[in-house]
Amino acid sequence: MSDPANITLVTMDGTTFTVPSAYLHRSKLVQDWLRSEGDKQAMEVKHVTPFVLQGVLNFCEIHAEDTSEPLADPADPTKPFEADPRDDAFRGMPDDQLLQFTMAADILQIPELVRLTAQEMASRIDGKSPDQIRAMFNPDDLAEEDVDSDNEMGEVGEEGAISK
Amino acid sequence: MPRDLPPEILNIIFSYFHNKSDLFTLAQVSKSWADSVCSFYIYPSLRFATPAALQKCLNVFSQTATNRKLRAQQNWSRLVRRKLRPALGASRPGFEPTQNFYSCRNYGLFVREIDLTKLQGKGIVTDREIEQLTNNCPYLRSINLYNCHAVTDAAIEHLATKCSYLETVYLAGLTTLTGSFLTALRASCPKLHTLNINLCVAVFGPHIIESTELSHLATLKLDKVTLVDPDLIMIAQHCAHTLITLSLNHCRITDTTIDELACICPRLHHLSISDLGYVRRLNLARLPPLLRTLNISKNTLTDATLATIARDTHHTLQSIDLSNTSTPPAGIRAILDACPRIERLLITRTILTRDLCLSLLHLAPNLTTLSIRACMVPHPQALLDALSLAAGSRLKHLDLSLSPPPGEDLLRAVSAKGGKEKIETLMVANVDRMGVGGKEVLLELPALFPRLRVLGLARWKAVDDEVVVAAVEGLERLEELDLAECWEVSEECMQLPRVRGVIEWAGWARVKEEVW
Repeated sequence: MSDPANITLVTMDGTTFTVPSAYLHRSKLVQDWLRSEGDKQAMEVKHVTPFVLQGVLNFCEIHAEDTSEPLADPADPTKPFEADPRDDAFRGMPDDQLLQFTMAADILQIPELVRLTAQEMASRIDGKSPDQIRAMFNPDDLAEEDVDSDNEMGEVGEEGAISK
Repeated sequence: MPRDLPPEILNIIFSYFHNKSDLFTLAQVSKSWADSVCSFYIYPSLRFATPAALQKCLNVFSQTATNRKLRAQQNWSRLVRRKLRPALGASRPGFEPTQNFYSCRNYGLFVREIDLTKLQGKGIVTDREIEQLTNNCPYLRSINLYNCHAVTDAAIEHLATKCSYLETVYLAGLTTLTGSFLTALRASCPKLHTLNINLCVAVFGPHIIESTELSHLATLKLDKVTLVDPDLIMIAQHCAHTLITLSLNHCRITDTTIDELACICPRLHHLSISDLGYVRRLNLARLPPLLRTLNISKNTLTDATLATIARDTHHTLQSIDLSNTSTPPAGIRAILDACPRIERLLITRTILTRDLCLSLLHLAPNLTTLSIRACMVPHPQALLDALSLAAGSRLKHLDLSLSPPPGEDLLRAVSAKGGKEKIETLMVANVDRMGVGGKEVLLELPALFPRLRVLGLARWKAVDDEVVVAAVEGLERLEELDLAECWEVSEECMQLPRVRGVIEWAGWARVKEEVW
């Protein structure tokens, strides 16, 4: 099972990317896939849009030559994190894209990218009030908070009225 | 923003927040965030290092309490409106509940343990703080109020009524307590098994007797509490079948009562009767059959006591403290030879004769803790041999302070045969009273003892900035470095992390309690 020189990745809508396999040596998912048996035509990366995958591959290309030790845990507090000027493009992007990148990095299991994006997200959240954080994220997602107690009270009220 | 943000992504982001108040903020954002934060990041124990941290936590508690109240009012108004709608007519505008988000989650529900020892002594923790904390933590299991001396009986009674799952209560040093809180504890906290009221000097025997009735106390610490002999007998009878640990240091009880205790409490494993001031010569005729730990330091022992220890406890005894007992070396040797299981041996201020050193050699394979602080050593070489053998086996904690052999020789002997890989606590205070020697060995400390966690170099004249920096940088696991009265060390070095200087003795007491 020799390493192919190029890897073809297929995104959710069928767009294909062909990159040198050296780019993806930090992705545990790709490495596992290479080691596994079976057809090695193209690897499907579901849940990832072409734009995001292009960004992830850019990151991989930038860091393809890095020789630092692979990270075991992206949130390891003992390893100090130094900002790399080559990654500034990732720091400037909107919240929405940043989270999509975090998810893509998590799916492809690239701990370096997970750390970069998650820490950037954390620094954006840091120091904000709950309301500001809710404004950053989707408010629809948060409206369901603690509605259960209201409903219970309402139900009890109706029943009480009926029994009278 | 994607609606279905997976929890693992959230958790990665949350893991970059280490400050508890930030985590509280995150938990207020939404229900799923709160679940994630509470279950992973807000730990079940609250330990406050600074008054500001306590205040922040109390603010969050009071804010959520207000929110709960508002939520209840809104629900009530909604209910009333629904009832009155036919009467008022649909057109009439009623009270519209605001759409603002209110977190009414009680974060205190997750708290199992509160530790306020770091805020001791300064009057920061008062009844008000205790009441606010306990109102919000109904499932509290353990509380430690060591030396928070502004707390009164009323607060502890409140604590008892609010937190009925309490199991462990440490109230050492609360001199304002008068004892009425004990009744409340007994009435409201049936699961209580550990009670520590050391130094509560205003608590009297009758209160304790009343509170121990029908209780299941396993650990009872009554150091310096005002007790008389009949009180103690009553207390022992009340929890005779559950009591495992009993501490009666500095109490005004006599040795005949201890003999009776041995009969009453058959399960007693740990007994501490240091410094019984009313007993001139401690004469014990009987000891509990399962005794594992015995602390009889600072008493004058009779020969009969030594014989009793050797006779009654030789199968079980694992730890013995014979410090400051002026026991002759032959007596100590008899005990050491009779009790082969001893792991922890504290013999401060005794004469380490050649025979006693031989007994140490005999015990050496089992010893994990050894204190020979301020011993007289007529034959240094015999001691060095014993030490190097003990250090080569299981020894982890070693106190060599005030020992006559030169500190350099001691350290090298301990490190020689495998002690290098095992020693975690090393106290070598005041070993170099004669001059400024031994700096070379101090600089080598990181190489000699790479696994050190606690290092005491108090009053060692050779200690200077160079030594401190070498130790702090070289010893990866070092947690505490005691430099009391090392006058050559500069102020800047005293400020280094993990270094304890001349004044800070609070942490020292904790280390002493844990290790020794």
